Amino acid sequence: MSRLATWRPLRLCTAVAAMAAILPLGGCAHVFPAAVAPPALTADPPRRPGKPLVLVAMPDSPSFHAVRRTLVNELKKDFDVQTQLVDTQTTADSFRAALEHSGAAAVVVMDNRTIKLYRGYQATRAASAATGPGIPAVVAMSSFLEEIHPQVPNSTGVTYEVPGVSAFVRLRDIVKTPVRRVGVIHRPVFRDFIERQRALAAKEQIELVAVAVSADPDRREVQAALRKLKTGPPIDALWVLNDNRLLQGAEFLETAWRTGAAALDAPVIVGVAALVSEEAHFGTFAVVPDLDALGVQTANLVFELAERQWSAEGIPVELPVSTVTVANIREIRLRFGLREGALQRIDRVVE
Amino acid sequence: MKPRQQNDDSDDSDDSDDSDIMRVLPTSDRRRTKGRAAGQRNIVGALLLALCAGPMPLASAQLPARPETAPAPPLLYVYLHTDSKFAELERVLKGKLPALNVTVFGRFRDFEEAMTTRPPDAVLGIGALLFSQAVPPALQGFRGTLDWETYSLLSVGDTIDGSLSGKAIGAVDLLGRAATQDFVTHLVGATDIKVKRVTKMEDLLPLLQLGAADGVVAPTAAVRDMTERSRLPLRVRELGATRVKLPAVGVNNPAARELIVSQFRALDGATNRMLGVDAWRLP
Repeated sequence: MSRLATWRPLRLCTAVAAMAAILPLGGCAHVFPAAVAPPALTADPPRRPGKPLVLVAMPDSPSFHAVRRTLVNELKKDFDVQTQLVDTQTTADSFRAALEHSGAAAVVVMDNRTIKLYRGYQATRAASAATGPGIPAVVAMSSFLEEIHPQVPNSTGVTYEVPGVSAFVRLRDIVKTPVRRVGVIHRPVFRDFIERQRALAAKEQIELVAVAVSADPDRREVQAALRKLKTGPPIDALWVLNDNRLLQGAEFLETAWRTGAAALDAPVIVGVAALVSEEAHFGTFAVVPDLDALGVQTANLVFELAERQWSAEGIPVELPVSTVTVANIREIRLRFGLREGALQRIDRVVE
Repeated sequence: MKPRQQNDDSDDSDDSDDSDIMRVLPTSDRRRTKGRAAGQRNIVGALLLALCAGPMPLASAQLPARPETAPAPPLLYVYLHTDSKFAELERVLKGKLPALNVTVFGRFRDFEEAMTTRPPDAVLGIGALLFSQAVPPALQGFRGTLDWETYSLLSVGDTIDGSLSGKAIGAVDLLGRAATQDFVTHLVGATDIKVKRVTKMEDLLPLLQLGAADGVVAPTAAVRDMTERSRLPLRVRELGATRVKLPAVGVNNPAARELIVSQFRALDGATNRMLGVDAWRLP
């Protein structure tokens, strides 16, 4: 494993860091599962003759290492893997040089910052009229990949955001109350995302009731949106997006969300495990990506890339298939009823 | 791949005639198994019978004098996909198999690596897994009178009414990348499919919900749970031509065989059901 620049911890939005480790949705709010055990760093093994090289470019933080661990485990039989750590000091030039001199057949790009560096590599190649398609990328652990993907040719990947339908069906599995209409508050920038979620949820006969707020909403706007959800046809659950502008910190959560969300008398689905914790006591149910499985899903895309002679064209971006659930069982039991066998379906229980 | 160390004729169930049971194997291994002379099979079977008949004296004779400290409990690896979470399965098995050191794996590659770096005394998994790891079965799980089950293909609407050619089929990673591809190819009877592996049973439904696969294969016994959990217009096609062996316990270490067998045979009904079987019998 080598480092492209000095190590720096993953930057977290200050407000979010107070509640949990969050992985960004949109521009900066990263929402990671809080309880990711830091895996031991493993040095990359030496190159073997005849094995194609897969480069992994990623930040140095436990969540990324968790994905890397299973990714490498899946790939190492068939490919050599080298890891390049990326941080705020990594420049476009140093990234491009590392990529070009690596001899890699493909690069796994983790985090939005690393995507930006990879796009810089592609832009430089285009400007210099370089021949050949360049090194293809498999993107993981990056927010809003579906939006970014059209600007990143010769790439594929797995989005980070858990599809709403996955969360809704998981909730429906465990609560006795129906889950047919789910409310969500969103900023305009997420309109397309919401529409995709609406279509997916409809397949499971769940209606997504969306209320838009402004691009930079204050607490009154959020309160008004919650009131709108309260006064309209009843919703069976509230889905809170991992948007750093909507979750501006503990105080904003308290003043903008708490009272209105409680008044809905519906389970609150969140994308951050810490929001279900005893301390936060906000979310009823959290659904977050399973990082181990995400590594496997990413590895599967690398295999597909290899089968297609290292061309990512035509390989669609995938949604994360595997999730981890955290539930406030006491609240569910008291307010919504717990289905028989529900505990078997929950990964982490908060009492 | 080591040769299969199992007496194909030793099953004591009327309904489990190995002649019409295809233990789904990687294509290359199936070919090898089919090509093996009957005499060779008998030798393997005879060896296994010999091991079964008297493992303890043989093992005792070869073992050094018993050290004064208590021996470590036999190491049991479990790679089995059930309705339960892996952590819950491990918690329960640790409690119900107190004389064994139980480790449950959630991913095939971790299991495969551990098999190499720290070989266990025993393995609990489906028959094809034991075969692929060349671990001879010491106990076979039964559900009713059967030691096998069928799989079914689930799809949404008329997605795969016609040919499966070129379709993406989701499956749990039972045997590793290549062998799971062969497993699913054999199950559905189509060669040019793309297999999408997932790490958990519960991830099969999202493959359909998210449109990431045209269909998924799952044990027929698990289909009801999936259809009850989803409002998708699921179509179920039983793949009855292929019978897949139920979970079995394989033992690598003859010296630990008796203890391991007795521990499994003492499991209660609830734990057995958790493992997807009703009872354990000698193969």
